[in-house]
Amino acid sequence: MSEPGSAARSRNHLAWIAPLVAIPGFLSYYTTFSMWPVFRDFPWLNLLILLGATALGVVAVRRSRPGWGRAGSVAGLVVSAGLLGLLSFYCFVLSYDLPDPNRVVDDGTRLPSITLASWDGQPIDVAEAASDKLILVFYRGYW
Amino acid sequence: MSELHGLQTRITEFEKTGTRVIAVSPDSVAENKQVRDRFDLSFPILSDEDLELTKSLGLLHEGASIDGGDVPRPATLIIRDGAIVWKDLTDNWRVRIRADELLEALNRILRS
Repeated sequence: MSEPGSAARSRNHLAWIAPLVAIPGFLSYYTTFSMWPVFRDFPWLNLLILLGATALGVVAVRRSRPGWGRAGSVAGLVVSAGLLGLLSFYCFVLSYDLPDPNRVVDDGTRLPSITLASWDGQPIDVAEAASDKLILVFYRGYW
Repeated sequence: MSELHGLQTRITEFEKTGTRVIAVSPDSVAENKQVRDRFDLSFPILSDEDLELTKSLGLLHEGASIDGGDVPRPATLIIRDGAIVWKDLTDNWRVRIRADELLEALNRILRS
């Protein structure tokens, strides 16, 4: 009685491993790896983790027996493959969505005199800051 | 935001050339303070909440925020004597200029 029971349990574990690897493999791109250009620009590490999770999901489905065990394994595979697809879509489709670069002002344009506050509340006039040498970095915000 | 962290790691090299570094975000002063604390940034982050500066330079990306609002497109400008002399507008908003590329561009401009 113990022999088939333990085999069924080990198969069950495999069904869980795929989504348990895939979910952090997906989220860690946003929380951690997008901070470093080497992992950010081409998300090879996160894609590798998600590919690995999807492969584990395939193995789990093939090893599962018909019934609830198979349904669970299929669900795990769907989650893993879905997150792989989602990260790929985000990185290779969605993030190319930018307005026409021709709408940006030409080189030679002078900076306007606009005063904005920094994180310490200190007001800075942009035209004044630009009077000598300045690097101005625009980013999309905290989200 | 990752570009801010990268800039901070090379900030002394930018400052050595006499160049100021200033970031601009659409967030509030309080949110910018959080970002400053998270990365321990030494340079200012201006709060362009009304997007006045962003719009005046043609850097607006309409409807691109997660809540459907407008945000600036990621852009890095080098300004000399009050006017823009160089800019990096990425074609993929995940991929921003790296600090060493920016330093190289800056040094090229300062030599010319």
